[in-house]
Amino acid sequence: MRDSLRARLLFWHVAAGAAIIVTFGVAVCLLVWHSRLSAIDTGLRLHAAALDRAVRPTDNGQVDLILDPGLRQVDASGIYHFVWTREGVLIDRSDTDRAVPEPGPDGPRFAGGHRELAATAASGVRLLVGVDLAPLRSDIRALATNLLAAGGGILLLSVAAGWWMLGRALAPLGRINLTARRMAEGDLSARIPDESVDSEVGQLVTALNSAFDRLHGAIERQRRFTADASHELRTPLATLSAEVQWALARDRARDELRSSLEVCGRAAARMQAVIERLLFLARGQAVAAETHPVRLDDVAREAVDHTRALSYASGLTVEVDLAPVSILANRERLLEAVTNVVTNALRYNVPAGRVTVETHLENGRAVLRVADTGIGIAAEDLPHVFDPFFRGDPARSRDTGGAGLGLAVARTVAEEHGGTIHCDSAPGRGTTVTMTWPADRVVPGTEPSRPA
Amino acid sequence: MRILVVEDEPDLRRSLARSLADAQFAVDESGDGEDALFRALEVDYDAIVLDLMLPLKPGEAVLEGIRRAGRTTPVLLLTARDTIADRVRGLNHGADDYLTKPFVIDELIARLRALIRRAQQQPWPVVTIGSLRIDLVQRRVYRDDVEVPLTGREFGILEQLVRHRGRILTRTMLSEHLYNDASEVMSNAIDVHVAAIRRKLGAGLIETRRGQGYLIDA
Repeated sequence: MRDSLRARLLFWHVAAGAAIIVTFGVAVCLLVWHSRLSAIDTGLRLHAAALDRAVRPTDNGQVDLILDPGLRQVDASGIYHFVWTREGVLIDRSDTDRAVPEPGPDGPRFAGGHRELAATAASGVRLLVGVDLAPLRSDIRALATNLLAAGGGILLLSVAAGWWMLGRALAPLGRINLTARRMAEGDLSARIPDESVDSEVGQLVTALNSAFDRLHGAIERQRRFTADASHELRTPLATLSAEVQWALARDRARDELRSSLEVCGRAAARMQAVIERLLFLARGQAVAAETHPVRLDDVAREAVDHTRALSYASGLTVEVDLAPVSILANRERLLEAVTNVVTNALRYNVPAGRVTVETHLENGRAVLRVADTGIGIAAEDLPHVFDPFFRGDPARSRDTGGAGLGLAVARTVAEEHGGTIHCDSAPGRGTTVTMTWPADRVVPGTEPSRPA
Repeated sequence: MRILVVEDEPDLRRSLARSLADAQFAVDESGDGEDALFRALEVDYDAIVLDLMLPLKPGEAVLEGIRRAGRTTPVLLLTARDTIADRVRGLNHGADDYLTKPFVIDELIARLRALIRRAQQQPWPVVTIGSLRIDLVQRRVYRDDVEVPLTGREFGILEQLVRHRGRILTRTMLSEHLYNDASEVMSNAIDVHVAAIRRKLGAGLIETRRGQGYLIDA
């Protein structure tokens, strides 16, 4: 493909060059022809004038022709002449091979490869001067041949130079092609070596490489997500499978089978929870597009209600400070997100701890804040808390539940509604998760913002 | 043979323990890394089944702790991480085998037996002593190709003595490999079982070293 592009470019390059050379050559030949011809015409006119002066009418109506000896012979310029009387009797001619022509009308003409000039002198004497054009023709031919040879040489040189330069210019295309093919074959770390950053191709290479980088990153994230997801599913699946194998290995008592089935049920519920969260993350944008004005404070209140069982069980106090705020959102997804954040705050708390949930407007932006007095998150883990499947402290054993998807879901929902999510934490003091939506997502008409 | 199962998912841990107990292993359970390391150093297990993602102390650290203490106990990693890199890292940390979840119990048991055989340098699972043929995989004993039925405990004691042929095993050593922590063992239980084995297989097989223990001569 690259070679055909190279050949095509070269073809047009050469065709244009040839056209220019031919046009130039023809123009030069024409110019030379015309300038030489006008010189010849001048010579002919001078010669004719000399002849004219030599014609002397006599008294008896005859003419005398008194020629210099130089006029009688064909001179060095090759000009010959014929002289006729008014009656058309040839009275003089130079010593030339030229057959006697017709005098013809006055004026210049081409005749039989000659340039001739006819004129009428005093008393009606007809004059004709001419010159053979053969030397001029052969000069022009020689000129044309030389121009052709030179032009051909230049063209050949330009073909060679063009082929080489095109090859150099198109070489990065080959490298791009090779790299793209390696990417297609699965080597996602392949990049185009870029050595000429300034050229257009260099810019293309830079653009492509950065596109490859982003693609690689996206595929890598996808791969990790899938790996994590399969990992999350493997443990409950292993439980299910091990339990079934145990139950089927031999005859079991009724209550043994019963407890076995309970284990299977729990494993299945776990898998279902993981799968639902995964689907929730994957469905994303499409569902989030269906938005309505939603009261953020109502959603927060409902999330607190949903998690009441958990807060009772852990003996935690939940405080709410909910100012009415409405935003454009998908209520179901928003509720899921807020519930996840509140659940996390409850789950990773200290005994007899406290969770504060508040909503309000801050400089026109809608803010939902969930603060806990919990165990906190180590500084090095803080950037990762919103990554899917991230579980900070290994001490957060599976017994506390959760697949590590809660905050990932919260971030997805916050962002698909045009908002942001932010986490502040100090180990031992607690964690604060803040979700913020910009003013253009806020639906006016609810209570005015409280003083900041 | 006594096995430690380390797994933080309680349902999976219990299920594993029950299946291994069915296969005549004495099984202890552990749900977190610190407890697992403590037990592994406290008791001379025949093998350890270890999950990698554990609370309090990751599986790799447990493994490293065991090896640092100079223990060569066979360790089988049982984990959901299944990439080649994970396997390589696990084995390089000193594990002896690797099995990914979900798994087939029979394969786990076969691998554990193979690990234990290898650790005790007994590549062939069938041992012949005189006219006796002892199959350590099938857990059966034959005299002149006729099976002699033994109970699980009896076979367990015979197995330990056969595996350590020529060495004296104390009653404590025998019971440590035979019972898990949860078992209530009578002080003369081993003697009772040995007597039963002698009754079934002949008095000459197991020798008593008074004040020390029992052995099967090499």
